[in-house]
Amino acid sequence: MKNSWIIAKREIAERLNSKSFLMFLFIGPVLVLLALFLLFQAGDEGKSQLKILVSDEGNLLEGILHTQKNSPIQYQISRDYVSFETFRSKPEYQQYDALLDVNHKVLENKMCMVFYRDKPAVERQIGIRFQLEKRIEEILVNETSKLSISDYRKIKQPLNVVYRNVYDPKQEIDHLAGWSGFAFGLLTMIFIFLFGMTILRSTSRDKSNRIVEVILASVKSFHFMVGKIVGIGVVAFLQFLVWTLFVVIGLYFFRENLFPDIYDPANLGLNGMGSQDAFVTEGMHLNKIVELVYDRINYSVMIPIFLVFFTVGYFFYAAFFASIGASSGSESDGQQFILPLIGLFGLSIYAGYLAVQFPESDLVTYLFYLPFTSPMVALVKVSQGFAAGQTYTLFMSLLVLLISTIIAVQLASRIYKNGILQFGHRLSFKHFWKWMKKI
Amino acid sequence: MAILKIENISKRFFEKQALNDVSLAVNSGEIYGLLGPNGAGKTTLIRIINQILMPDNGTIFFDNEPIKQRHLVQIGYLPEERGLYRSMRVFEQLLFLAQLRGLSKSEATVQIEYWLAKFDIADWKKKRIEELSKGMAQKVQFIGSVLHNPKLLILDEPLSGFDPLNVELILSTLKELKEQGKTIILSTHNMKSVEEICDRAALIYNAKKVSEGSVLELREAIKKGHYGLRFKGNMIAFVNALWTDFELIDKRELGDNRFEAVVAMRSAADFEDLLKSMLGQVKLEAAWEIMPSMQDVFLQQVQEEDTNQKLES
Repeated sequence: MKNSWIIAKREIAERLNSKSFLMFLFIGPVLVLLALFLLFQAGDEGKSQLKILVSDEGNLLEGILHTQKNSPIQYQISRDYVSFETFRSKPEYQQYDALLDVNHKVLENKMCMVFYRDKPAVERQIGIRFQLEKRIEEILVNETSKLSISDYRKIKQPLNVVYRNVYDPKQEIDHLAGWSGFAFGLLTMIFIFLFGMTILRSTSRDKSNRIVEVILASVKSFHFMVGKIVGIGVVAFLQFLVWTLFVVIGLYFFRENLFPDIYDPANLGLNGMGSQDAFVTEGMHLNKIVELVYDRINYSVMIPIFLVFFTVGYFFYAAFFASIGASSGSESDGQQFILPLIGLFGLSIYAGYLAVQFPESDLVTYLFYLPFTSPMVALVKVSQGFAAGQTYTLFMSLLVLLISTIIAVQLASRIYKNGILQFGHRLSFKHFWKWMKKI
Repeated sequence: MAILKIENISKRFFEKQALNDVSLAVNSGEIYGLLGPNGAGKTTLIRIINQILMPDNGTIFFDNEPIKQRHLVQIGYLPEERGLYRSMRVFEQLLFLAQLRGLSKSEATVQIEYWLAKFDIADWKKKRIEELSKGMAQKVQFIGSVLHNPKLLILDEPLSGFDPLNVELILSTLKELKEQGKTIILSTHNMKSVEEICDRAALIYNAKKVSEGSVLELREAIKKGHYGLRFKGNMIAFVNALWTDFELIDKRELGDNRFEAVVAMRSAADFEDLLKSMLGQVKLEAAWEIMPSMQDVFLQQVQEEDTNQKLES
């Protein structure tokens, strides 16, 4: 195996010396961070600290609409009518971010207008509406009935029809956590595919420039194949580590500097409203991406399991890519055999989606053990968590993948050995079959 | 003593019989020519020696042991189809090849420096292979096959792609290696080089070994008893002198009343009789026995083999 390591080192050095690899090494995480930044921004669009002038012509809200302590929304009541034109142009109103026009007919028409200079964040819009609605309700109840506010709210409580999955009546299955596993699985499959293609191209290039014959005069074809797979795998692993490092640093930077209050309940302007309120619950989940990234992923569990499935899954798929590369008659040959592999990748990703949506279905259970899809499904399953006594299924899945990998590598080494010195033919399934049978 | 013994090797690639019961022995310290037309099976045999392919039948002994992967560090191999990593630098490429052949980095560095200096290409050390001409890359590849100081060197068409100056450089290097006690198997179509440097040779044709022996034996085996004479004088007098014992096969006028002629013996007369018959008739400048070239050996044996096969079928 010493020679395998020499070959692996050469593969590593070739890629590390390649400008395109180095560029992608650093551009990749920048793109990931940019995408996350945009997703965060989309969930946190608009101004979050607001100073609002309330034009309360009918003097309805004075003494009722208060600014809460530490609230990002501050109200200033004006008894005089302030038109939006005046608000827009007069210097004394420039300190305010928005004009809340509560007209005197608000109790009848139930309509207010907010004229903003910069669009408020969604949470702030909900906060303003929530507070105003409550205050108007209180006025209406006092004026039109003898009910107490609490009785009125009991009556007003809408009928809540709750939909529940029959397989998950207690909603124990966490879809959001499932998506975090899906993200890891997707990353696994993307890396496996990208670096699998690198193995294929590298092998067929070695064939076409005829270096293989020199190498095979010193190294067994199996060791050559393993060296190539390991070398390219180490580069893939290195790239993953660099990406992880950059993305983690970037996320920390986002949290500390760009989005410090990204899901702080205090910033929703709902202090003191009662956490049981539907608005609060809704507000807390406004930015699911943020919650997923910072809160839901159990990195200490996900990363080790990701690495194990990534490594074994990489070897499993690498065996197929290496076989195609070694069997090709020319550098451009063998492209048609990539299509079935792309199909398998598509199936894996779809399997991951199914595992998120229908984790307990029979089909997902099969896909959990199928070596082509298990690296993806296993990570979704891990992120969702296993019921007590079911953790062994993860090890079963890994065992099946491991055994399949050993078989795939053995068969690939036969194809590799018999195909690597064949040139000029047009690759067909017949060749694979012949070379696989030949010891 | 044979460093390499090939016994009854056969190899079939599906429908094609690539080697059929081939046996030969290569002695330690000799240069052994492996001859044969394209597709005869030479490269397959070389790949089997290098353990790149496994034979269907037969055994190969290296230093009296059945050849194993561990023996490959004692073998240097230059394949016919040259190949190097185009993006690698010359030094890195040679270091990689040397390490695959079991050398440590420090040992490899010493050898690389030595061979680059010997071939006067030390300045190319940091150049990428893709920057080199074909001939330059050939030199690098040749160095790659010898720098681990192998006991046995197998060279498949080592002279192709080289200009005459570099052909001389390679041939003189091979002679030096032979003087150092190395054994060399030379597979080539360049018959002149076989005559020049090979001690023994084998002809492979249609998957079989057709003949084997020293280069001299092979040439003598097909010689026709023709002699060459260079003389000054009268051509008629020369022809008369041949009389009935000798036959004039060919003649060539060199100018200034000088001629070269080829004659064959007709009866039991020998070379000495020929020289005696010339005395007093012409002024002899040179006389020699005409030996067939390796090219002749090659062509004749291939033709004979074709004829035999036609008769058999």
